[in-house]
Amino acid sequence: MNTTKANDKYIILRIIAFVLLFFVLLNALSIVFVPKYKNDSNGMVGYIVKSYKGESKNSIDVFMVGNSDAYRAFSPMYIWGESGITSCVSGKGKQDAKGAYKVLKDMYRYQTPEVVIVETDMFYDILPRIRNNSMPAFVNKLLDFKDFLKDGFKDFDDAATSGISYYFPILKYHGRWHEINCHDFKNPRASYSFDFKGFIPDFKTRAYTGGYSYMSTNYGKKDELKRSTLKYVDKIIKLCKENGSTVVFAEAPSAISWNTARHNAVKGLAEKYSVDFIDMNIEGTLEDFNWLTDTKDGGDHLNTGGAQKASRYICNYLNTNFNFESKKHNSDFDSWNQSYSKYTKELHKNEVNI
Amino acid sequence: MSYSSLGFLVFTVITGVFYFIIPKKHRWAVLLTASLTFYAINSKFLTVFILLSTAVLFIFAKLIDKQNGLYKEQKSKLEKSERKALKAKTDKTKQFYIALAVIIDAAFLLVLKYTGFFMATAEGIFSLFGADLGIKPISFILPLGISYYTLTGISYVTDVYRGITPAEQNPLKLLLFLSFFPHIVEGPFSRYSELSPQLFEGSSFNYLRLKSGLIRVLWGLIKKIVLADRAAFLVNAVFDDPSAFSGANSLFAVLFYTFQIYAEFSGCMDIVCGVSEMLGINLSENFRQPFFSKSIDEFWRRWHITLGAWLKDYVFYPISLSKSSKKLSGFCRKKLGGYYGSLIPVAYALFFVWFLNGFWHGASWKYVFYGIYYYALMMLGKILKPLFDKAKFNRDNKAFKAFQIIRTNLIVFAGMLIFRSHDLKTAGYMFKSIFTSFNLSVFADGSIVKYENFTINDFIIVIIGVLALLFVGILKEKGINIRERILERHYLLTWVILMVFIFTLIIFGIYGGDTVSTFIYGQF
Repeated sequence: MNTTKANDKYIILRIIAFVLLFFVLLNALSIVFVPKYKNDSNGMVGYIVKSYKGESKNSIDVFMVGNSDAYRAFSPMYIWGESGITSCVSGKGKQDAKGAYKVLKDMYRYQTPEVVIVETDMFYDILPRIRNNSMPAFVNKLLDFKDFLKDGFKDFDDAATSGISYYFPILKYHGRWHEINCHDFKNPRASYSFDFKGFIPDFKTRAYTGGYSYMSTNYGKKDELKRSTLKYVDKIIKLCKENGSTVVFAEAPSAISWNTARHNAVKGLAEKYSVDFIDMNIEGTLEDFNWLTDTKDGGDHLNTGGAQKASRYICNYLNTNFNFESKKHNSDFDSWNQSYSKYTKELHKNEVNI
Repeated sequence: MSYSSLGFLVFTVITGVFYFIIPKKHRWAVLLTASLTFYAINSKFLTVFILLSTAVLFIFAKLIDKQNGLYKEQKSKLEKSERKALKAKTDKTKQFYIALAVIIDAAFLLVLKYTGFFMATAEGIFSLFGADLGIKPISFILPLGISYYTLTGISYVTDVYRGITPAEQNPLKLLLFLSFFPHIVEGPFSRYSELSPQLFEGSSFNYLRLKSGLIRVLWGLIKKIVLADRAAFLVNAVFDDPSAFSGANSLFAVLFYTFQIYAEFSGCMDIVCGVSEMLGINLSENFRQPFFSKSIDEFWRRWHITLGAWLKDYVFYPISLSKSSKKLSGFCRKKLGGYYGSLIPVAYALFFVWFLNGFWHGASWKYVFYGIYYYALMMLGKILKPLFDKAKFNRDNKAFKAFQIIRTNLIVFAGMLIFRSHDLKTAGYMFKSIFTSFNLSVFADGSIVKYENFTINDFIIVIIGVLALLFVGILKEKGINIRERILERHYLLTWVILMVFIFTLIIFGIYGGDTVSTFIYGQF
């Protein structure tokens, strides 16, 4: 069938209308399908980013913000179990400094944390711009493309489904179809609390075999941050200071997205603002850390075993540098002890050391 | 990248966009690029095997074609006797080329897929005589779709040999024919003369075809992700450990498996035919309501149609027309005469067809037995036919037709039990348990529909699916083209159907978490 130009326009309009209608329905059904349980230890996809909303007002001591590295590496439940410090994570895949600034602005409407840990991986693009300076740029690009071909397609469905789930949680919760009732049609956003406080455990292991070699090049080089990123880092620092929070920069181990040039640039930024910078990619920083067992996806993100080690370091840092009072025996925080019990059970079930 | 994955959806959209924005005469290059990308993603370095097969087939088809050309060119200038001599010489040369082409092409398949099977069989035979060869059967990673493109390649070179189609002059086009991404994993088996014009000429964008193809793809995805993958939980639970279940569970598992494999395989065909339809390419149909068949012969003309057609054209006919078969035919007609005299040469050729049918499905005696099972039943039917023909009763009667359909389905269920079981021993155990330990209490306590990841809710969905497929099947049997009827109506009806299909998939689909959805026929 040959179509005229007018017909073509008509067809395109119909297709656009159909797609729009589809997304409207998808969004509406997503709200219906999100679980309405008070505590959902499985996380709430898009809602988990706002886990601070579900906690009692001004009850959080430490707030962590970042991209996927943050919700894979920092476990508030570990910190609670060790020290009785209340914390929560707001991590979102591919979040940038601008997004983090918005999250912080919203967070201060509900919480007044003493410490804000800013995860620094979000200051950069996904793939390192400098892989190895001794090689021409096109070689690095080819190597990145080779990695994408090798692993990207394999994980595509997983990543795409979880990515879309941020915006349309029905993809994650479609299995609830048999328990949907009229209560599910009420908007649940404001009333959630999460057992793991924004941390998403992952028990898979896919080893990274390069050890700390990714940090052994680019000495003296800096992977400078984009101007727009610097602008929002500045805004983040100011916002936190205005609200009486101490800012700490932290970089979780990531052999895929981190390197010495990035370390140098963030270190310079930390010095400029006089904030502490914890880089867990420096060999020896994390006790017992092993790239063969502590990553879920070949060096990009930590698994829960790796997160326990990163959280142990953060916990020690908080205890050493701040005077937090343990809330473990405060009856207002009994639900935190219950959540911790669920957390330990989950770890036991998956044979991860507490 | 499975046909039912999100990755394939994205891949198809990208391919479609490029296909329709590039000038028509170059569109085949987009399909080739897409097919090779799809192949390389799935098979990585094993892509080399399909390249080698293509090279072999390309060279020998050209050599055969050259012989055809030489004969055609010279025959008009020659006397009858000289022409006959030239034909004999040409045929001999052609036979040499085709034999080499088929041997080399099939060798890739035999070595990669069947080495372990041959080694285990040799070990087993020697152990019967007390000799331990100490062989450890080895298995290779199979290149994607090797069982499909090997047979498709053989059909191509044979068609060139028979003069049905000329040899392809562009090796890249031949590569596209063999590797075309919608048919590389599970077929359907395509004929070069039918598919190549559609692949190489390119087609224009057609909105109606896009909608029709999309409806078919979504219907196929529902069959696969909502129904087959759901039924698989029950099927896997029972077949993985049949001793833990009663005969009633085994019976349910067999029925569910039959439904699973049909929903999955025909669903896959709907996906690949739908994708091709959107690109303006019509692939051969592989199913025609097989469970309405009144006999086994008919069932195999409705189930995996293109495999049956391939075996008929490239195994049955060559054997039937071979010298040995002709000799046998002459001998039998003389000795037995009439019906049985002509049956034996057919039985001889059919044996190879069914042996290969079973053997093609997998490197295991279980699959050989599966082929022979159908062969034996089919031959039994043919042997007893004169007796039944003598019996006088109304064969057009509805009750008799219903009996024939039920009988055929029971035979198919038993075949599926062999096909799905781990081995023949397990199949025998399950078959026996259906009759000896049919525990009715599993119905009373509900455990007949309670398994890991499978509840009564899933059971209800599968039953609804069975009824939906039955309803669609009845309409198709009546010659109603459902998609055509939908598309004839107001466009809002198409919208509603597309939305219902998409949200059925999103809500009731088995996906997410650690779910890895693969296709059963993709293994073959």
